[in-house]
Order: sequence, then C-alpha cells, then structure tokens
Amino acid sequence: MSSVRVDIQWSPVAVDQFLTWGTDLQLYQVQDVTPTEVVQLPRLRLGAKTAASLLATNTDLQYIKCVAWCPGQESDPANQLLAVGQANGKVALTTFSKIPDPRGIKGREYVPKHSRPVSCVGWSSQEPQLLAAGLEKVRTDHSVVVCDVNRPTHPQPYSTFDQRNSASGDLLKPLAEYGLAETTHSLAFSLHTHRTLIAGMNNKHIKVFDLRESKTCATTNTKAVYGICSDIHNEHRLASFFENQVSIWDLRSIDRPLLNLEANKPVTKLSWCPSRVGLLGCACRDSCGVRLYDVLHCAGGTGAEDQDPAVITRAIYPDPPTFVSAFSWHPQHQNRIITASYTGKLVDYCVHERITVNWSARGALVWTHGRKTLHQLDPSQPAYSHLSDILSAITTRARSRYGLRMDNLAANGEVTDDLSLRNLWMWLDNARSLVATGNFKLPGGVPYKYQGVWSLMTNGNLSSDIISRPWIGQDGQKNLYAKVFRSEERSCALELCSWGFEDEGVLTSFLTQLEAAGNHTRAAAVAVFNQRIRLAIHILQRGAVAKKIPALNSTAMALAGYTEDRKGLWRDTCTSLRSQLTDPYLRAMFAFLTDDADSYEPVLGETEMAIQDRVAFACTYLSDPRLTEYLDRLNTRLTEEGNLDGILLTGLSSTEGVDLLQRYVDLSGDVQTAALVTIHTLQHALNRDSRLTHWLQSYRHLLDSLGLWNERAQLDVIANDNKHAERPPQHIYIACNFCKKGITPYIQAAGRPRNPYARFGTGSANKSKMQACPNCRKPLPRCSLCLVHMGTPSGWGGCMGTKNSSSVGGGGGTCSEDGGVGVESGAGTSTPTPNPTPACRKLSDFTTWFTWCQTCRHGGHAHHLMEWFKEHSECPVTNCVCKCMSLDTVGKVGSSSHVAPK
Amino acid sequence: MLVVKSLNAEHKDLVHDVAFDFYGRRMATCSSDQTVKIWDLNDDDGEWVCTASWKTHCGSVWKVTWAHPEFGQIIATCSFDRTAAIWEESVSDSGHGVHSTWIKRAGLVDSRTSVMDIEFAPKIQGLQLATCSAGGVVRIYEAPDVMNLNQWSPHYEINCKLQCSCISWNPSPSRLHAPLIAVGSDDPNPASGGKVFIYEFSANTHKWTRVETLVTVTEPVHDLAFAPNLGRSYHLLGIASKDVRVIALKPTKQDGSQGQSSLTSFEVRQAGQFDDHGSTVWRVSWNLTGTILASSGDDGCVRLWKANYLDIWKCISVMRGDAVENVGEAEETNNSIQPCGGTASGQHTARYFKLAPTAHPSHVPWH
Repeated sequence: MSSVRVDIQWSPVAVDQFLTWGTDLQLYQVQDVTPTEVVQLPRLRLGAKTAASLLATNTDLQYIKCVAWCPGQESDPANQLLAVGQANGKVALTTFSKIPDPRGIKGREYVPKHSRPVSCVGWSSQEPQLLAAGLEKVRTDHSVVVCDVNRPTHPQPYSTFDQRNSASGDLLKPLAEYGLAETTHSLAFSLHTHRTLIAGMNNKHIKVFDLRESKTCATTNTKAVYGICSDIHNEHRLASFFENQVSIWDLRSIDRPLLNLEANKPVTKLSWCPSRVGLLGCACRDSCGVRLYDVLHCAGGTGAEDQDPAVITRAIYPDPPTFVSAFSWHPQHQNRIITASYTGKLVDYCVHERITVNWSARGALVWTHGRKTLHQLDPSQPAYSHLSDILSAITTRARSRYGLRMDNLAANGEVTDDLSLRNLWMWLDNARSLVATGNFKLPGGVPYKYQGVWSLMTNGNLSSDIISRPWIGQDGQKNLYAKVFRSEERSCALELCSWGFEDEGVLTSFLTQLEAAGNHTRAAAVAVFNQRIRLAIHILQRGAVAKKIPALNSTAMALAGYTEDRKGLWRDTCTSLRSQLTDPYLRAMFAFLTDDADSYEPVLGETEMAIQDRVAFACTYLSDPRLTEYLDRLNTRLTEEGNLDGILLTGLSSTEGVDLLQRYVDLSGDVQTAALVTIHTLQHALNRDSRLTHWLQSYRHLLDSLGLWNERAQLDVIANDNKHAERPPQHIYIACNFCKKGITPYIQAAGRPRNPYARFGTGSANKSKMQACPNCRKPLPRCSLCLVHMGTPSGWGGCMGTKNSSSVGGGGGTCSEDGGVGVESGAGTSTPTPNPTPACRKLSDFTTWFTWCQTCRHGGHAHHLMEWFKEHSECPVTNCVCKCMSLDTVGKVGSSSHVAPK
Repeated sequence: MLVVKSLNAEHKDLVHDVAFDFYGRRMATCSSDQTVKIWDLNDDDGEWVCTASWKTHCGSVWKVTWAHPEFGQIIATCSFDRTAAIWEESVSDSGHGVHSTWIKRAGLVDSRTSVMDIEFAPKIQGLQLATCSAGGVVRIYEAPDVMNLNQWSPHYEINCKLQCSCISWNPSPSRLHAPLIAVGSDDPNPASGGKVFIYEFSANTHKWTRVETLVTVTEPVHDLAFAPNLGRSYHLLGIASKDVRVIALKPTKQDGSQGQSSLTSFEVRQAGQFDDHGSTVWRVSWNLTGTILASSGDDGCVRLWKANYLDIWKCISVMRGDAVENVGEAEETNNSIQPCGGTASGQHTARYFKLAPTAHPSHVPWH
C-alpha cells in the first residue's frame, strides 16, 4: 500500500467505522466474519472474527499531516466533520458525505497568513464547533489558532462550496490566537474544563491556555511536548512524550511531571484508553508491540495523594513481527484497539486484562476474565480428565480405601488400573507373608526383611556352581543338558521372583496359576526356561483353545521341532522369523532356544517381559560376573526411570529401595503410594530416613486438605498400630467442681449394658448412674436445659427420633420429666416414636455426653444443647449472651449451604 | 469446546487475586475497587455464593491469602495503600440465619511503599506472615499468641535492594526443610542481575539469609510460586516473567540434622522455560499436588504445564481467558519436544517448540 506512514482512528460516533490516512483518507466499516471465512479484497481481514470493507476514499486533500474527527454528534456518521491539517498550512474541513453540507461548513479551509506545516489539529469535545490548529514557527504569526467552525466566515461564507471548489480558501478570523513566533508541536483541548487548551511548544514548554480569558494560565518547562493527550477518566491528567520518555502530568501542579516512564524506543503515539481508567497506550518506532502503561492511583482517589504512582508496564503484540505505526482505542468497546502497520496492515485487537489464576484444593482451576468474570474448570468437567492429573487419581484411590486394606495387601493394588502399582502391592503382599511366617531364610540364616534381589546378590561373595540340567520330555533324542548356575543366593532370588522351583510341584502350580490368569505364552516361556519343552507345547495348545488364538498352535508346532543342531534349518528359520513375533514371551522363548553362545542377550533385553522373569532368567543362566553386571545395569535403569517394578531388585530394606521410591515420587507426584508403602513395610525405618517421614506427612496433609479425614484417621491408625507406647493421651478430662478429682473413668452412659465408648469408662455394668462425684459425693453440675444433674440420660432417646417428635420435647420442664422416665426404663426403648433406623439409634448414645461451651462454660446434655441451638443463637443460661454455637467457625463452614439461599 | 463455569465476581473493578482456603471450599477475591469478597461453596449445586463483601483498604487490593484453618478463619490482604491487614471472620447468628462479619484484627503499617504480596507461612511455622513491598523490603510478621490476632510483631526485615513484586513460602510440611522464601522482583532493568532470590531461615542464628539468586532470570518477575512439595526430593519454583519458567531446587545436603545447623545449598536446575504466551506472563499457580502449573499471560490465555514421565515439562492445555474454546487438544498433537543437551554442570534444559502455531490467540473480539 502506501509508503507514507499510515495513521488510524475509530469513528467517534459510529462504532463500526474507522478512518485511516496516509496519502488519502479512507473510511472503513468493520464486519463480523467467521475465523475460517476467506476474506478477499477489497475487504481486509482485521482479526479472527472481523474484517473491514472500504466505504469511501477521499483523495482530494494532499500532504495530509494530521487529521482530527469532530467529536460532536451528527445524525449521519458520514456527516461527521474531519479537520485535516496539511503541510502547506491549510486546515481543511471535510466529510465523507457525497451530498453538500447545508451549513456550509464542509469544504471550508483555514489558511494561515504564512504558509507552514500544520503540526496538529484538535477539536473540543465540550464545544464541538471549536477547532484548534497548531502550526510551526513563523516570526510574525501565531502558532496556535482556535476557530469556531459554526461562526459565519469572513468575508461572506461560500455557503455552496463543496470540497472541489474550495481551493480559493476561506480566510477566517480566528477566535483566538496564541504563541506569537512560537512553534506548536501538539495540542489538545481539555476534556473536562471548558475552553481550555493545552499545547506543547518550542520543544521546551507545555502551556495551558484559557480561551475564556484569552490568556496563558499555566506553563511548565519540559522537553516532553509531543503527543499531548488528556485523560478522559481524570480531568487533571494528561500525558505527553519526548523521544523515549513518556511524562504524565497533573494539571493542578504542572511544575513537574507526576511520572516519567521510559520506553525503550522513540515514542510515536500516545493515547489513553477510553474504556478503562488509567491505561495509556504508546506506540514506538520500529516496534511490533504497543506498550501499555497501567497507571494506578496517579494522584487518584482519597488518601493516595502523597503516594508514588504505581505503573504496570505491559506490551501487546497484535501482529508480530510487523511494526506498528499507529493505533486507536475504540471509543466504546472495552479495551478494543486497532493498529496499523507501516505496510498498511490493520489489526483489530482486544487488550486482555491481566488474568489471575489459582487452583483450589478440590482441583478446581479459577481464572479471571476481563474485570469481573471468573471462570472455573472443575474436576467434574470432561475437559479436566485430559489433564490426567495425579490429584484426581489420588483422590479416587483414597476414597476407595487404597492402601488401607491391612489383611490382603494385594487387594490395595486392585483399586487402581495401573499395572506397576498392582505388581508393587502383589510384591508387598508376598514379601510381607514371607516376613510374617519367618520360614524364609536368606543365606547365612538371616531372616528375610524385605530384601531385594540386588541386595541379596551383593551381600556377600557370589560363588555359584555350574549344574547341567537335563531337558525333560525330549523323548527319542539323546539327552540334552542346559548349563545353569546355582547358589544359595540364587535360590533365594528365584524364590523372590516366584520362580523357586526346587521341587516340581512349585513349578507346576506356578504354571497353572499363569495359565489360569490367561498368560499362556508366559507360562510356556517359563516352562521352556526350565527345560520342559513338552509341557510348554501343551500349554500353548491349551492357550490356543482357551484364548482362541490358533497361531499358538503353530507356535507349538514350531517349538516341537527344537533341535540342538547348531546349523539346522529349524534354527535358521527361528532366528529370522523370531523378530516378527508380537508376543515378547514367544520371542524370548525362541531367542533362548536358538541362542548359541550362552549370551542370552536377546532374552534379557526383552523389555516387555516382566522384570521378575527377566531377573529369574538371569539368576539361572548368567555367570556370576555377568549376573552382577546385568542386575546392576537393570537396577540403575529402573531406578532412573522410577519404575516401581524395580522394587524386586532393590527391596525395601536398603536405601536403594527408598531411592527408587523417591525417584518414582519425583517423576509421578504419587506420594500416596510411597506413603502407603512406608506405613506398611517401612515403619522401622521411619526414624532412619527422613524422606519416609516426609512422604507420610505430605500424604496426611494432602488427605486433610482434600477433606478425607476418615481416610486420614485410618491411615494414622495403621501407622500407629504397633506403637502402643506412643498412643496419644486422652484429650479431655472431666473433673469434679469441688474436689477437682477426675471423674472421667467412672462415667458411663446410663442404661447402656454394652458401652461402645470404651475410653469413657471401664465398662462394668453396676455403675449405671453417676450423678455425683464418686470421690466427694457432691453432685455434678446440672444440664442447663433439663436442670437435671449430669450423668443422667437426656431422656429424649434416639436423637433422630426427635425429628418427628419435636412437638413432644416442648419446654425445659417436660424435658426433665421425660428425663426421669428415661432413667427408669432405659433411653432407647421408651421413646414414644419408634426409632427410625438402627443407625440413628446408635447415634443416640451421644445424647448423654457432657457438652459445654469453651467460652461461657455453660453446658449440659449434648442432645439438649443441639436442640436448643437449632432454634437459638444464645446460650440457654439466663443473662448469658454467649453465642456458643457460632463461636466455632468450623460450624460455619459446614453450614455454608444454610447461608446460601440468601 | 471447553465448558467452564462462569461467575460474575460483582467487583467494580479489576480482580487482582483469587485465593482459596485450605480445603478449597471458600474463596476470597480482591480487586482494585478496594474490596474483598468471600465466597462459599454451596454443597448442593457446587455454586459459589458470596457471603461477605467489604471495603478493606484505601487502594487497590493486590493480594489476599488464607491462613491455615487451625488458626481460625483468617485472611490477610495487602494493598497499594502501603498497608497489609489481617481479618478474622466472626459468625453471628441473629436468628434469621448465620451472618459472617469480617473484623479487622490488625493493620500492618510498616511499609512505606505499596505492599505487593502477602502470604501466610506453612502451618508448621506457626502463624507467620510474609509481605513484600515495592520498596524492596520483605517483612516477616508473627502472631506470638495465636489466640490474639491483634498483635503481630515484625520479626524480620530483609532488604532485597530491588523492588519486590511477589513472594512465596516453600509449603513443604516437612521439618526436614528449613523455611524457605522466594522473592521476585519486577525491576525493569535487566542489568541489575537475577530477579529471584531465595531466603532461608536458620533456626540456629535466627536469621533469614539469602542462599540463592537465580541469575538466569533477569527480566522482571511478576509472580512466582513454590510448588507444594509432596514428597519430592527437590523443590519446584514456577516463575512468571517474560516467559514461564520452572526451576528445580534440589537440596544438596541429605542429612536433616546437619541442615539445621548450617544453610542448605541448592543445586539449581531449570526444568522448563516456555515463551508460548508470546508476551508477559502475569501469574503462575500450582495445583495441590504440585504437578500441574497454570500460567496466565498477556495473550489472554491460561496455559497448563505438566512434566511427562521423562520429567520434561510441556504444555498440556491452553484455555482462552474468555473460555470460548480450548485449543489444548490441537496443541498437543502439534508440538514436539526437543530436549537440548546438558551443559558441563549437568544442567538440563527442556524446551518446547510449537511446530504449527495455532490461530493467533489475540484475535478475540471483546464481547
């Protein structure tokens, strides 16, 4: 487009129109488009959802220096007057309307006595007929000219002018003139004060002119004389710039700027955002962004007068990497800005308010949008599941009592779908039963304590015997032998891998187990690894039937052709076709059978095989140095990956196991599993390794935060199960008012043959009532509602029963009578209404409890007090204004739904 | 298409901060209109209900923060008016229902400049409160008697020498980790060096000492947040600057007992640095487990970051501020990860590149 710098301005009246000018004036209209729609010339795409179409072009005026759009209201937006300042000193008035202007204003020109460029034009927003023009310096003329465009011109107005024949000029006597022999760089009418004009002059002054009194009412020395603009939201505030510096002024104390802001490049344009307080936009030369200064409290409201203003600098990049030459704020739409680049590209952009964002403990993500809207993404929403947040997993698992099943640890794993977690719990279960039985002894008679294979092997010097193990079931051929290694450590290790096949029965049961679980290929491979090729063939055949995979039959067929012959056809075929098998166990099986040099690398490298099979295989077939090396490598890699399967190697007795868990936590954030493993197996190590405490504390904290208090309490129960000495002491004691001796051990709920609250009493049934202190025989305090001594039942029976018997309760007097009855016949049975459910009946034990307010020290039967506070807020004791129930704000949190309807 | 719940915050001006209580059942918002609003979650329909709204300060309220519920229902606010304030809820039951009033318990007026950020210490350190001011002073207050919230003594003053914008306690509940505070500065001059400082409290000397300056962060920092440390061996710090950064701080000392006596030294590793926002990043926030980082930037988007199983951080979701659509799914298929090789010091930088840029997020008209 044009090589001239393009400037842009929104129409002050039409919300969908804007103007650009470079060599000519162009009026555009904004239209809504869809983001995918193809926008062709002459329309221009402005953004994802808007396009602009050219409405009109005005090419009559040349050498346009500056344009200002009259802010006054016109009925037709096309009649909106434009003042165009030109390089030859003329200020022309024009519109985009094709019809002549009846008032004859359109087409007028104001020509100064001496021709020099107009640097700026500006309209008054208060009196839209007032137009000011700033001109460059000439010795004998004024540089600020203010005219009233509605005033009849001198001489006689050319009322029929249209813009085409206005060349003769319109010599108009100005309303006011200022700045004799001075230069005006920029000017602006005050948006709030009548007839006040602010102008930047001579590279050193900002002057404020009062048109009513025709005088300069204020002046200040500054170099920031360019781009003066007045803030629509603050009548005293204006901004100007000079090179890299933006200054913000207060008209009341214009001696020095309120604030100087540094821009990193020379500023070209400044503008206050009309839709938001204190947002100043600033375009810089050769910059692809618009800088925004969020000026807060700059001589703003009360109490902030003496404060330094705070500025938040932002930058927006409407269309990088093109340089922004000009921009314009939309006069009405919130934070909307349109920018023009040097190439003429226009971008419609919305400046976002700063977004604040936060997560809640419930996993909800909240962020602000605009000034007032909050958006919330809940875990219940489908988009949330894409995040695969570990928090959701932890919450779900905790709710389903993950890790709280003490008897069968393996059942904990079934809560999750995660295979490695299931394996982990299986291993824990097995290991724990090994520990519990105590039969399983490590080499040297050491009892097993969650050691792993790796720690077994590195414990002492490994010295293994080589044994030739015969192949079983290879009838009709010469006896074949496989070279296997045996030692005490290896046997233990094999047992830990559930491969401890010292006798035939164990192997058979293991294979049956695998088959039952549908792992036929794995069973076959294990059989082959144990030299039972016929068994493997049978397993595969059964698998083919059971799982309806006929391919297993052919695999069995191929297996049957196994030969020791090193150069046979079978061997070549197997070697070449092996890689095409999809099942890792079949691959490993054939790799094992075709292996020549006893290297077994293909088998050991089969990463899809279960770790325990690989380890067991290695423990059987690898020589001592190779075994150590292999396990070392595997151990390092699994720990590096945080793979929980590696627990088989590391065990939990050594720091290596904790290292592995730590790595797992680091990578997955799943502190839950680590903490649960800790309480189940690593209790003894809690004091030794601070990391374990950290996990446990973190998980407890997490459960608390999630509001899963029951789960947390159960966790604590398990964690403190074997710490009888450290059982927390009783929290609350009740002592007699008179002798100050504790009565808690004697208290027992009256009429309850079985006391479910063991800690409240010793449980002997003969101490059925206790209305007096057992030590000094003085009576216990009375319930403030029923006025009966504490220690008697409250008499209302099942507390839930009162839901339908609320009329029965009545006042305090009847209450005490009821209480009497209750003592005689036992609380639960004599209530007039049948108890609704057994669950409610159980709750009624609570009714006789001592309850008192920690603040006013008044109290009584728990149930009476609860009834009271359902309807009252103050204490039932005369003259006590304590709002006992409201004191505890936890009650408030619980009752939030109660508040909600308001 | 992203479906989110929306809520009109009913503030008269820009909302600066949203804070949740320990359980995520209560929410506090603060705004330039000088007020704070408390919202309670309605159990029945899961909607937020405003239960209190009051004028707190004579200036924009920058931040609001909740204390641990074991100290009561307490919030603290900080403002442009150079003060911070402690508020406690007092619930009264007038018979027509429960009313909650928030009573100002204390005003902290020590700062001579705008108080930019405020945060309660983790529960384990008692009722402590850290503030930072635009004047570059971090103050740590403590209520010696948790029953008397009127008394807050300024225990420590740390001069950061650069204007401060944000502060974050290390929320680790473990006694293993000495108290840590990260302070960010929004000083605009890159020449003034690192903008994030880590301070550690030594129980022996009773002093806060700067143990680390993140020299790689020289751009102004607008927000930072320690991730909740749930059993990890290192601390994660999310930083909102010109870009989003994730910094891992690994204490090099293993032994807890020694850590008490001398200062911890950290192995600083940059786990991620992302300029996807393409402009200034304003806020960062961690989820409860410290596994997902949310960031918001000037592009009007909220982005979520997560580490994969290889510990490489990447963007998992992008949400436009106006929540009209979610470009996250497209993003996920379009990006590729290219970890750049570690330097001699074993530093590992993960970078995230977007091959096909999505539709420019900025082209969103206001509605």
